Parts: sequence; C-alpha cells; structure tokens
Amino acid sequence: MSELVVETRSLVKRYDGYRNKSVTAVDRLNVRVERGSIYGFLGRNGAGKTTTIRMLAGLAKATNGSARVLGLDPASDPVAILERTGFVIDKILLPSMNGNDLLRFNRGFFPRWSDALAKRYAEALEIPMDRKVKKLSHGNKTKLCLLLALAQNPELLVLDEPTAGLDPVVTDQLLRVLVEDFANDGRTILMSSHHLSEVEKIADWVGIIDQGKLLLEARLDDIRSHYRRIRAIGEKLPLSAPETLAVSSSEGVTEYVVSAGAEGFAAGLRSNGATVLDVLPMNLSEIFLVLVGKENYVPVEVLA
Amino acid sequence: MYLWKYWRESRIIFVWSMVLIAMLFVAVLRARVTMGGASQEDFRQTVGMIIFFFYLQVVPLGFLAWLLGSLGVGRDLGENSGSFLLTRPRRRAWFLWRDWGFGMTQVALATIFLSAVIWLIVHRALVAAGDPFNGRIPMPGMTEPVLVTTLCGIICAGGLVIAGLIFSVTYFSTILIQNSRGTLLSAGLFVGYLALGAVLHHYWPQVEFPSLLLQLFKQSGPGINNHLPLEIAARAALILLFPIAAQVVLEHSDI
Repeated sequence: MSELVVETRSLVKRYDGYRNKSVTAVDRLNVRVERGSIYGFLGRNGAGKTTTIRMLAGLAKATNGSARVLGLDPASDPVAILERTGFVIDKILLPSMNGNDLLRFNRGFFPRWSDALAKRYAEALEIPMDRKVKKLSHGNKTKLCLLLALAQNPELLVLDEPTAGLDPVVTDQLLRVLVEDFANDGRTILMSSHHLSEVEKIADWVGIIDQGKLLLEARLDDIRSHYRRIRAIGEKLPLSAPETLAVSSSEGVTEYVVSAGAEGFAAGLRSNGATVLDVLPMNLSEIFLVLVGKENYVPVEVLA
Repeated sequence: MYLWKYWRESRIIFVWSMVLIAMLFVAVLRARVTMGGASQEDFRQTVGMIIFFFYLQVVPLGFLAWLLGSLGVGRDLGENSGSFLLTRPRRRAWFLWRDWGFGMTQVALATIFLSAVIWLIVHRALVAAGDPFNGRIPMPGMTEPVLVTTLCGIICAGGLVIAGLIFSVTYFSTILIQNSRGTLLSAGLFVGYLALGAVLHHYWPQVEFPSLLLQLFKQSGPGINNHLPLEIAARAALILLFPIAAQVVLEHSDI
C-alpha cells in the first residue's frame, strides 16, 4: 500500500451563522493522497475545496474529524508541516515588497530553501522580481507565489486554484513547471481546481467534491478505462445497481454511468430484455457534470 | 527576517518621529524653545512644569503608539496576506510577539528620546531659577542634575506606560477585527472610557474611573507619589494583558 501524504477522516468544517443557522462547508470528507501523485481536487466554486486546504495548512480548525499531512496533525503540529509543504492559497503576498524582498523574507523560514531554485524559476517563469507585488499582474503574482513555494524545496505542494484567471500561456508555463520540474522528482502535488481540462492534462488522481462531500476519488486512468455511459431502452430497467454512479431516464431512454464492469452491466441489461443503444467512454468533464448533478449545463471549456 | 518586515512597514512613522524629536532637541539646544524659570519660593511651579511636560508628551507619543499598533499581523489579515504570512512555518504567537516587541521597542525609544529633550528643557529652566525644589521633593542627597534626571525618568516611565497601553490596545484591536481598522476601535475605546468616566462622574461625583495616566506626585503636599512603583507595575500588567489576549484570539481564529 502506498504511503499517504494527505489523509482526512470524516473531516467536518461548520461555520456558525446568524440565528443558529450553521453552514457546513466540509462534510465528513475522506481524502487520501498518495506520495508521488498529482491529485486534482475538483469542485465548483464554494464546494469546500479552499476550506479543506485551509484546514490542511492549519489556518482553519476542523469542527470534527481529523486530517494528517505528511503523517502530522495540522491542528497540533502546523510548524513541522509548513516546513515541508509549500502552500499557495490566496495568492496575495505582502504588497509592499518586491520579488527579491520576498525571497529575502522567506529564506530564513525554510530549512530546505534554495536560492538557486528561486533564481531558476524566476528566469523560467519570466517574473519581474524587482517590481513591487502590488504592481504585478495577476499572472505574475501567481507565478511569484508558485516560485516561493517551489524554492522551499517542499515534499508536498498544495495549490488552491493555481490557474484561476490566468491566460493560456501562463497556465501552460505553470503546469509545465509543476509536472516537469516538481512532480518528476517523485514529489506530491495536491491541486484544487474547477478547470477540468487542465487537471485532466496533469493529474493522476482526482477527487470530486460538492457541497462539502467527496463524491468520487479515483485514479484518472481508471476513470478513462472503466467509467462508461450506457444508454438503454426497455421496460422495468433497474434504477440502481452497485456499480452505477448515476441513473437518469428521459423520453424512454435510461442512461447509466457505471464505474466498473460496463460490459457485464450492459450484458445484464440485455439479458433483462433491454436494448443497449451504446456504451461510451467518458471524460473527466462528463463525470464531473454527472456527479455534481448539473449535466444540462455545459461549461465553455467542454464546448471548446 | 520577520523583524525586517515590521521595520519596513514602520520605518517611515518611526524615522519621522525621531526626526521631529531631533529637531525639537536642536531647537532647545539653540535656545529656540525655552521655559520660563520657576520661582525659588514656589516649588509647585516647578512641579507644575514637570506635570505639564508629562501631559504634553502624551499626545505625540499616544499618536505614534496608535499608528505603530496598526501594523503587524492584524494589518496583514486585513490585506488578505494573512494566509501567506501564517503559512510560514512558525507558531502564530511567534509572529505576534515579534510585532508587539518590536513596536514596543520603537515606542520606548521615542519616549526615551523625547524625555531627553524634556530633561534638557527642565534642566535649563532650573539652572536659570537656582534651586526651586529647595529640598521639598524628598530625595535626600540628590544634586540638581540627578534630581532632574530622576524626575524626567519618572516622566519617561509615565509616558511609556500610557503609550504602551495605547499601542497594546490598538494592536489587540487589529487582531480582534483582523484589520488595521482596529485603530478606530482602539480610539473609540479610549474616547469611550474617558467620556463614560466624565459622564458618570458628572451625575455621580463619587464614581471615578481609574486614571489612564500615572499620578506622579502626591496630591496633598510636596513629594513623589508613594504608590508610583505599584501603579507602574499595575499598568505594565495591563499592557501585557492585551498581547496575551491577542494571542488567544489569533490562535483560535480561522484565517
């Protein structure tokens, strides 16, 4: 069994609201990130991704459940975790400093800090290091955040929406650095996003979260090779089965999304007298839309 | 390296206050600022002069402390850079006590330098007037420079106590509301305390809130207030209470 660098068990985060109305941002979440993997943590805005990451960083306290990062508890041992993990959360740095100031500021905090790495990434990512943070573009701020996290030489990189609001060129630059430089060394990346196509490019594991609940956690290869959409027509078709993720019915056609054994499932339907129209492979976007229950909504990136 | 960050944020305020104190010092040296000599017969005039300086220094020192209290972790939280700062591998208390310690050091330095200027003014006034204390402030065996230095030390302690309190309350307020606008809360607390005390005292004269300022001299007759060390210790404890409270708040806050 692979070593887990991030593990949450029934993690809950609840915020008390007005008149005893509480909001559950994270609801009994069980996430498992294996060492050396690139884990895409997917969800819509407000799904609970950032709250989860904040709890992993020790910035927010869990209401219930537990989390372990590199085998340590973020609530009781945040310093040891932060020394070995690069967190990029809000992408807001100290505004009065420039890139070089931030390198100087960070250097003393991290035992494995590397000036050589910082210099290399500054050049590779074309960051104007002598410009004050408040005068940098959004893309350059994000790149600078990533540079600071990478120069820590961490074992684990936790990134919250790293490509949000970036143009395709910058996005490509960032993803290349993450995959070619960082992950190729056998280190682990946990990256939240709602840009499915980008995650699909680089991740080997995905977790899909909605309304604070984890709906799916699987290897991307398994999704590609086993997850299928089966459309069938017939009478008295089953509306649930152990391997089905979702079942819907419209105009006499019943549609199943199955996570494994698609051919066997289709054979079972046929033996019940159904006509199987097709068994189709699914991409990550389709799975995502099925799981979060918004299948009618097709995001622009899927259309593209 | 973290202190370097605080220094970067506070240096304009601190350096400007030092420049203003230095300008005042030069003005006093060149006799541009003078104080009328006290009468030999009336020690109260000299004591009054010292108390006047004590009150006078509270305004600039309080303002400096108020500005410096707005810096640090609370301000970073307000600028949304808190999650960056607090994912540096240190305990939250580590950041907080460095902010507070460095800010208090700056407040203390400004108070000491201002007291040095006051010392010069008082010394000159007394030299001009002879020996107005005339042995009535009971500090036996003290020569005039030692006596003035001691009195200015007391003024300095008094200034440090009130500036420290303003600094600590302001720093705590910025942590409490996670924004440098905690300065407004802090100002409101002080103004509210004074206003409430005044109103209550107006309607119920027997009600009197403890003074924010030290009572340097005895109210009846000559001499330094016997309880001064106790009053300083009590206020120092109060000053320390606010960063401790800020630490409790910060450690239990979600960022």
